[in-house]
Amino acid sequence: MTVSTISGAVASPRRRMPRRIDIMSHAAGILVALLFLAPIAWAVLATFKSRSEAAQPPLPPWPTEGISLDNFRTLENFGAGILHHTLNSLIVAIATTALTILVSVLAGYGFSRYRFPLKGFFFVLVLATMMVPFQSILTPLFLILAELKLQNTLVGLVLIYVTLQLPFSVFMMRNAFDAVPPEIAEAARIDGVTGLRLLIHVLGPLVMPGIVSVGLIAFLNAWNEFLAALVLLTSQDNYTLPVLLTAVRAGHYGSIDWGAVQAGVTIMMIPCLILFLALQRHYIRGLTAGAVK
Amino acid sequence: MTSAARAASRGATTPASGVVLDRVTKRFGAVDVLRDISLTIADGEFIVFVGPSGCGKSTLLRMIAGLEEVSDGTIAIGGRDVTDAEPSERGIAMVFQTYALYPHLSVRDNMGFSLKMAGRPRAEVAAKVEAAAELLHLIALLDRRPAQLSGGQRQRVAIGRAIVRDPRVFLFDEPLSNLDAELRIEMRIEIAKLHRRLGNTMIYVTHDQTEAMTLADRIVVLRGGRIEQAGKPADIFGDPDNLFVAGFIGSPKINVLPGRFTTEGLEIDGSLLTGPDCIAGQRCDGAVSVAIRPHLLHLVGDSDPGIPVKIDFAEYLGDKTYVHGQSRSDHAVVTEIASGPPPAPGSIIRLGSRPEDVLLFDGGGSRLR
Repeated sequence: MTVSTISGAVASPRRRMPRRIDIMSHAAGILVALLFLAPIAWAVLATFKSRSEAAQPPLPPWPTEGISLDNFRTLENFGAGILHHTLNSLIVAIATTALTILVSVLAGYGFSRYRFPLKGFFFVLVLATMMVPFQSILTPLFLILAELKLQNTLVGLVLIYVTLQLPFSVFMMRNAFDAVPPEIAEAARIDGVTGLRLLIHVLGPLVMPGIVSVGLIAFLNAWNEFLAALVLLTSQDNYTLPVLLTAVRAGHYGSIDWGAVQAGVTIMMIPCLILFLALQRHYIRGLTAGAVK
Repeated sequence: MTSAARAASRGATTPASGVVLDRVTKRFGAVDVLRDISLTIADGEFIVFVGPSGCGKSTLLRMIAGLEEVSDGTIAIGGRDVTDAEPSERGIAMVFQTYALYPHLSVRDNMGFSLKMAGRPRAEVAAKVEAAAELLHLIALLDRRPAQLSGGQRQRVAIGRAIVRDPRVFLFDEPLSNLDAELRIEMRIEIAKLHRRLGNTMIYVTHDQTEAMTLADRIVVLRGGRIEQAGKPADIFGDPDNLFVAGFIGSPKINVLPGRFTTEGLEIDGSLLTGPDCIAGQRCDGAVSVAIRPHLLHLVGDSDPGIPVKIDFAEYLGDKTYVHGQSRSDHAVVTEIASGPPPAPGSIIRLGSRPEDVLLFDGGGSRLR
């Protein structure tokens, strides 16, 4: 009797409270979501305006003079064609991702599981490179690539992206490996599985969320990177999408072709969205891995 | 394969599975974690390493497994020196406290993992996994992942994974510590049955003395990196070599009181106690520690030899009552009363014992026999 009275007395105000909070939090959530979505919607809608309309003040954001595909045609006719440059970007992003994953998984495994002299020092050294703004080393990087005859090549760009991506990735992967209980590796050792086989058959699957996170971040950074690509790529054929977009921006007589830029932005968003939607579950697990035991 | 066939095939193909530790030492930096451990474990014996935390029992087990390097000395399994051999080449299988199952693999794949990695034919792997699963009642769970199992089931899978390897020696590192009390008793009995059925050598580490007493053919009590005593459970309990072993094994703890021999006999706090006779020259001079198990103390009359104890409280356990009190010199004394009402707190009772139940230890804690 007593128990039911107490729980009844407590439950009724509690039942009302969440409803008000629910409404408020949903409203706030929707508001924030709109803030995030508005620019994207704006960009996508502007894509379908005609060139002259796209140059007008952007209100209303949707096309009023009928839907036009002019902007995509501009992109297609610029340089070697949008498909070619998308391919450039994809090659760079995928190669960066693959190489980053390969190196950071091995390095993270080493830093987490092996004992060697000056291990702590080397790890801090790797992390310390994150403190150097990469713009400040762009010139030396350019000179090194020139020495290697890799300037103005996608391979050179990939190497630079991987270099920039590695400190954080190694850090992430070491944490991912640290989060795997040592007994699992010991059990595998008793089962006769060590070294690379241990990594492939036992630990690899266990750090998959970390690998997905590292890969996703590497892909997005390589896909979106602008400054290094602008500096290192000199021939238009090698342009990646971000560089292409600045080139295509210039319209007639110094005016800016906003429609073409928005069309490029829209195209650039597509792979990112697909990747995020496909991998979001792993990605979130990877970022929070090791945060809470 | 039936268990009989399994045992028969083992008898035919597997060499002796005894373990010999010869002056094994483990150093971490300048610290000796284990010093000069020598121990011969017979074929098929169930050995339990027991001791307080930090005594080195797990380290010793991990050295036998090959997961820790041996700083000094040698380890032989089945007559072969395995001191520097890889864990997988030692013919051992280990069950971890945390189970250490592969989270991404099903129960079936967990159990068959070692064979699959060794490149054995699929049919053989499947047959061995099925046999072990049947033995451990895991057939219905074979396609589940470890996360979908209860603690007891996970531990059974871990044991199954060990069985599938068909090892000469099973190593258990506190396998039941993560289970609740009821399940622990259940699994303890299962492990005992398993040992009878398989007949392998088993080495089992625990800090739980009940597990040690019930499972072991022989208990090895460790402290501070040394073996304090190794012997049958009854010997460890009834005939301890030193005060540490006497105190570590037995619940409630053995009563230890300061005593001395006078011309009239063994005296505690000025009261005489029926104890063993004084052996001239060995223990009649100076103080001794007198140790008596709680269940071996009994109430005596005022005229009989015995020590007065002031009652603090009683613990009623149904079939018996533990009575806690203090001696005249404020040493805690516990005794067991089988029936009848416990004495009231604050009252004074007199406790005596039979001479053969009294254990004597010298100032350094060594047994006086």
